[in-house]
Amino acid sequence: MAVLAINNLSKSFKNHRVLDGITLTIDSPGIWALVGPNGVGKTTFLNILTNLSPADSGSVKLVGKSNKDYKVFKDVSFLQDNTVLFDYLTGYDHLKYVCDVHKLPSKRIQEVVQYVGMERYTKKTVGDYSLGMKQHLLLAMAIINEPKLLLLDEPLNGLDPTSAILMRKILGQLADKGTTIILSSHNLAEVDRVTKQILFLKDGKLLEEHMDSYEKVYYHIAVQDKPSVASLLTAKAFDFMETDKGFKVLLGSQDFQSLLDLLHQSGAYVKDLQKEITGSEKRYEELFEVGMV
Amino acid sequence: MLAGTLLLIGTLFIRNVMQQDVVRAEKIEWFSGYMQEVATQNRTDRQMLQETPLEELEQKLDVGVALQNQLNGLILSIENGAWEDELQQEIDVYLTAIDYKEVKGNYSFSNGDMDETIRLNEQLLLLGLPKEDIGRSVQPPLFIKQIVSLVLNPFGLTVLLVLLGTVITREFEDRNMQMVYTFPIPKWKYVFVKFTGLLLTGLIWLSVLFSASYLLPALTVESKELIFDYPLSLANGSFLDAGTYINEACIYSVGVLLFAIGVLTLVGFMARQTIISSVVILAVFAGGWMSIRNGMDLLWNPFTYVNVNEAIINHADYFPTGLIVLFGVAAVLLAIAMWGSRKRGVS
Repeated sequence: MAVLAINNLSKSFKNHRVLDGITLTIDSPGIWALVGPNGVGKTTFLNILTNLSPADSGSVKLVGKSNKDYKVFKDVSFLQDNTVLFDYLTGYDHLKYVCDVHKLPSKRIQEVVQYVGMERYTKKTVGDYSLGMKQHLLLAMAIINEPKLLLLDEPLNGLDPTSAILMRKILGQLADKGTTIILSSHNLAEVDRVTKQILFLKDGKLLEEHMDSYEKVYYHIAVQDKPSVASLLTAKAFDFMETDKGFKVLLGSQDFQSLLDLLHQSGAYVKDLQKEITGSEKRYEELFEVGMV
Repeated sequence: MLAGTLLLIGTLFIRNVMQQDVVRAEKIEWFSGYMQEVATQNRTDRQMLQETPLEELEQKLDVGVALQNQLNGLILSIENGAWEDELQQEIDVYLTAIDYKEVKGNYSFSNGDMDETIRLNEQLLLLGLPKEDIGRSVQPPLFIKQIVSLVLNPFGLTVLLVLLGTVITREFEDRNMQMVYTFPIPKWKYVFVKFTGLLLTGLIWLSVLFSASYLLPALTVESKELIFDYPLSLANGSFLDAGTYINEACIYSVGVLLFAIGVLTLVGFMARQTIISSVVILAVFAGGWMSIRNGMDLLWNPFTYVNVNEAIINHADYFPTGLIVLFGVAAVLLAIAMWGSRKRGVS
């Protein structure tokens, strides 16, 4: 049984075709990122998947049932933007409500609260929540029923680093446990940290691509003795560029160990070393013809 | 809403208490005015008789003098607070006034109204109850009637619905429904839950309205014996005791509330916008009110009952069939709202 089966889905607003005969099947756990520029229709696509908006034509099946059947939401959760929360209710009220709707025992609230790390503020009203707190609550509500399919609309938007790291970890764990996750985002750096499976939405069409072939791994190295390191990097044929504090080195045919050996050999004092993976950005540039003006 | 209702009831009751002495003074002033009118006619008739003796004029003067004396006696009874005398004197005054009009005397009160007052006074004498000013009484059942007339009408209901209406539309405007619609609950159930919630709120409001209207006078003013038997004049010429009136008012109120909440639920879930919803509700109830004013106060028209007091007084024969109309229309409105939201998206 496919977790998500979309058949010839179309949607237009006046003369603008947002979704143009999309067909897609996902039948395994994992994380898929729905990527596209602002206004391309990512939220519309998710809203149609969950039947919040009607499609002009086509059909959607979620976990084997039509998306028009309310029972699909027993196994499907949709994390939307935080404006959907009731400002005058507490986080606990929201969780209790969802828990009751799913007929789950109350202890599940405690479990999920601890899991997403929101113990400190469950009794506060949502109106007093920060953006990160609201995202935590939305996530807790979305995962309380252990869904088979989790749809997330811009879940990483506006999160501070701590919250973003936590969110990424939780999504990774859920995918490992067997949840299929589709998250929309326009933050390509964040997308690359979460998944290599991308659904690019362009001109109403959905392009499913794996980013392995586009992936690049960079290391940002801050060193004291830049000239000696530069000469060694050149000698060992590393692809690199100079930065303010040191170098940005692309790992191509060489592996990370070779880079470490080189740094050791140079005897340079390494002040900082950070990894950066890019992949979707390159593909995005090609697809959406991003160019310098 | 509850605070506003209590404030209204409290204010009206205090006003009624303060008006008790005024009622008597106004009665005296009122009958004195009639007495003056009759006295003036009598003077003129005497002068004319001196000039031209006519049998008809003589007859008129005889009746006029009797009427003037009776009016004087009535005023004295009112001044003395002798209510039984007052009721009897008023009957006598009106019987004479009817005769007076037959002999071409002027008395600015229609025969129909005088007949009704005579019958009412006879009924009151039979029951041993003094006459109350229905619009300013401090007796529990009559005060309830005053509140029912004032609040349970198209205007009062529209205010109630506009206040309650935000419960539905605000959740669409604040996008809360966008989240709620992704829970494993059928959409019709949300409509039904909202309807039930609003109905419960409305029932609590009605309970407070009736309880406060009863308790405030009952706890602060000495209730007259048999006051719940007080006869209220119906449009068909018969009488309805105040106790039965209150029972019917309570039952009709629930029916009207059901109907009104049905309208609100349908409009709220269809419009999903506070201003549009309020305007539509206003238009619906204004249209209903106009239909009643234009002779459409028929049995099947639910707006006939929106003014609860008028429904009881003017259409006594509609009870209890009118309730079936109200319950039926409410059920149809709810069914349309549930059916309409079944497949509709939210974004």
